[in-house]
Formats: sequence, structure tokens, C-alpha cells
Amino acid sequence: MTRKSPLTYDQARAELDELVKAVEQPNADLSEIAGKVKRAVELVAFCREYLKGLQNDADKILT
Amino acid sequence: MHKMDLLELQERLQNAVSEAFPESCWVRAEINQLSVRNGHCYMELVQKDPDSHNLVAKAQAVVWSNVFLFLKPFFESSTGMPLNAGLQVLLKVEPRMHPLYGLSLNVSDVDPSFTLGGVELERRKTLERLEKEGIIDMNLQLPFPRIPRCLAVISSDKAAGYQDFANHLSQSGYAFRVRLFQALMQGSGASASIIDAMDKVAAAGSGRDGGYDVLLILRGGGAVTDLHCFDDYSLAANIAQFPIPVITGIGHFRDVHIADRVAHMALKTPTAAADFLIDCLAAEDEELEQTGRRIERAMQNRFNQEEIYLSHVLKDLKGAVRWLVGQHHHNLDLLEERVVRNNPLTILQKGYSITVYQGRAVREVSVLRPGEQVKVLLADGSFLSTVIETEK
Repeated sequence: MTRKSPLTYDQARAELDELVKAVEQPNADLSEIAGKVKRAVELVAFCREYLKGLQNDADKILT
Repeated sequence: MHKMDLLELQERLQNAVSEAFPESCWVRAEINQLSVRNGHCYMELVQKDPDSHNLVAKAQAVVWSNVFLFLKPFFESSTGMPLNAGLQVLLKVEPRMHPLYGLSLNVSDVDPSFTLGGVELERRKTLERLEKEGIIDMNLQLPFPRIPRCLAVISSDKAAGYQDFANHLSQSGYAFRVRLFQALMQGSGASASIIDAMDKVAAAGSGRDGGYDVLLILRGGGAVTDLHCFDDYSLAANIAQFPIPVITGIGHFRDVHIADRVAHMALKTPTAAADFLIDCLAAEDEELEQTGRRIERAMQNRFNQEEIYLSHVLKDLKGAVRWLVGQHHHNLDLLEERVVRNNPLTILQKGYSITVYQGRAVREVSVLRPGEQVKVLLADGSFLSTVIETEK
């Protein structure tokens, strides 16, 4: 599940949406679920960091 | 038959003339030739047939110096023109026969009002002719240039008027381009001389082709003598049909000449003409300055408006970014919450366990048979278990 190339926010969001859907599947494969949850948490953190940077940049530019 | 010698014949004629004209009489005639010698003025008077213009009468006349001394200035001040060939005159004469010199009319007086009347009649005829030919207003109807800068001047370089005009323009500070076309400005040859100069100006073209914007005909200065040429038909017709606007500054005090009537504009003096041209440029200058100020004001206003608009946009953008980021944060929170809610670990940590059969969570008891092995997951590990009995 790890990606080498730098992720864009949209890619991260798309992947996150997929992961949430997969985790919510009633007959999800339990052996994979832990990895998916871990990846989802990572992606959420990445997206939050990205948004924080965006807000900071915007504040800096729009003064 | 009585035979006589020439002197007797001439003396009898002398007597006959004296008897026929005991007193002076007024006679209308045209001056055909005129010369002044030793203060005496000798004239050849003629009368022409009004239709054929052929001579029908001719006589010699003389104004003796003692009379001419007073008659000349009287005539000139009354009519504004010199006593010259070509004029129609009403003279008080005493016909005298001299045995040696023949018949002569001794002039003792002149009636200037007759000459003026004749000139006026002639002027009226010329005006009517210009009107009939449809050219009288042609120059007047030309558009006057907004910036009359390239000026052709017809004048005499000796005339004080031209110098006044040129000095006036150069003191204005505006860059007028002036060229003088010399011509005779009075007397019998003036009309032809001015027309000749006009042809040269016209050959240079109009202002757009590097020619002239306006033509000025300036006399100016000196005593008013013979301005008859400015009533001449040919000169008037040339002015009327001239391709660029003509301004006259003939500098006379009497009534308006035909040249003034057909010109685009008639001004009293060359200085007045210069003033008019300077005013044209000054007005244009002022208008340009005002336009410049208006543009500046408009730009400043626009600038201020844009400034306000931009600061609004900036504020809006800030708000929009904040909202958008907030929205995304919210969505992420929801997603995270869903992930956490569905994480089996969360359930196990609450003390629940998950039974796994063939890799999948067991949700229905019907998939299990007694004796089969299942894996039971707890929060901190798992254990294997065997199904003993199933119950629904």
C-alpha cells in the first residue's frame, strides 16, 4: 500500500474514500482491514498537514 | 465764298465755344489716360458705348495746378482712391478753344459722390455675378482647420502690417510656419499680382500634403490709397474658389470690400489676424490640457475603485480559502470517524470478540458445523476454538 511518488491532496482524498468504503464493507477481509485502517489514518494525517500548509500559504499571500 | 486763314477759323471756333458755354457745366466721363506734369493734371476723357464698349466720344481735359492742388486731396479723401485712369467721374468743366492747342476742358471741380456711386454700382454688379455663378460662399463653406499652423501670407515685405503680423505670431510661443508670397498690394497691377501669388500657394497643396492650412492676404500699414483691386471680380473669384480658407487683413477703414465678402474671414488688420490665429491654437491648447486633466482624474478614480475592489477580493479570497480548508477538515473528520468506527480493534477493546472462519468474520451461526475449528479474536490476541454445538 505504500506509494513512492509524492502524493497530491486529491489523490490522497480519492484513496481515502476508497479505503473508507472498503472498511465499511460487511464482508471485508479481516486480514487486510488492519492495514487499510492504518493507511487511512496516515492519509488523514497527510491531508490535514496539507490543508494546514495551504492555509498558512494563503494567509501569507493574502496579506 | 469767303476765304480765311487757319487762325481766323480757330478764333471763330474759340468765340463759338465761348458763346455756347458762357458758364461751366458738369460732364460725366471716364478717365482714359491721366498724367501730371509741372503740377498740372492732363486727362483724356472718353465715353464708351455701354454695349459694344467702343469709344463714342473723346476730349482732352486739364486741371491746372492751382486747382489740382486742392482737387486731388479732396477727391482722394472723399473716395478713398486716387484720381486714376479707369474711374468714372463727374467734372465741372469750362470748354475752351485755343487757336494753337485746340479744344480743351478746363476742370474746376469734381463730384466724388458720383464716382463712389459708380464704384458701388460696379461692386453690386460684381457681387451679383459671383452669386449667380454660385461661387460667392465657396471659401466661406470650407471647414476651418482646428490648428491653423502652416500659413501662407500674400503681402508686401515692405508693408509694416506684415512685420506686425510675423512679430505677433513669433511672440505667441506657438510654432507657426509662415511663408511670405510677395505681391503688389495696391494699384492697378495688384489684382493680377495677388492672383499670381495665390497660384503659387495653391500649387503647394493643403496642410495635409505639406502645404498650407490657411491663406492670409494682408495689406496693412500706410495710408489708404488705391484699394480698388480688392473689389476686382477676378481676385474675388479666385479667393472664393481657393481650396483652403482665406483670411483677409486689408486694413481699411471704409466699408467692406468684395475680397472680404468672399473670404472665409475678414479681419480689420494684420495684427487682428495674428490674434485670431493665436486664439485658435490657445483654445486647442486649453482643450487639450482640460482633456489631459479629465483623463488624469478618470484614471485616479478608476485606480481608487480598483484598489477598493482588490482589497475586497483579497478579503473574499481569504474567507473563501478559510471556508474551503475548514470544509475539507470537516470532511476528513467524518472520514476518520468512519474509519475508527469500523476498525475491528475498537470493538474488541470494548470486550467483544470476533469469530473468524475461513478468514472471514462469522455473522451467522448457520455457516458453522459441530467439530469445525474457528479462530476467536480478542483485543490483545486470539485463540483457536472447536464448535461443539450450534443453536439458532
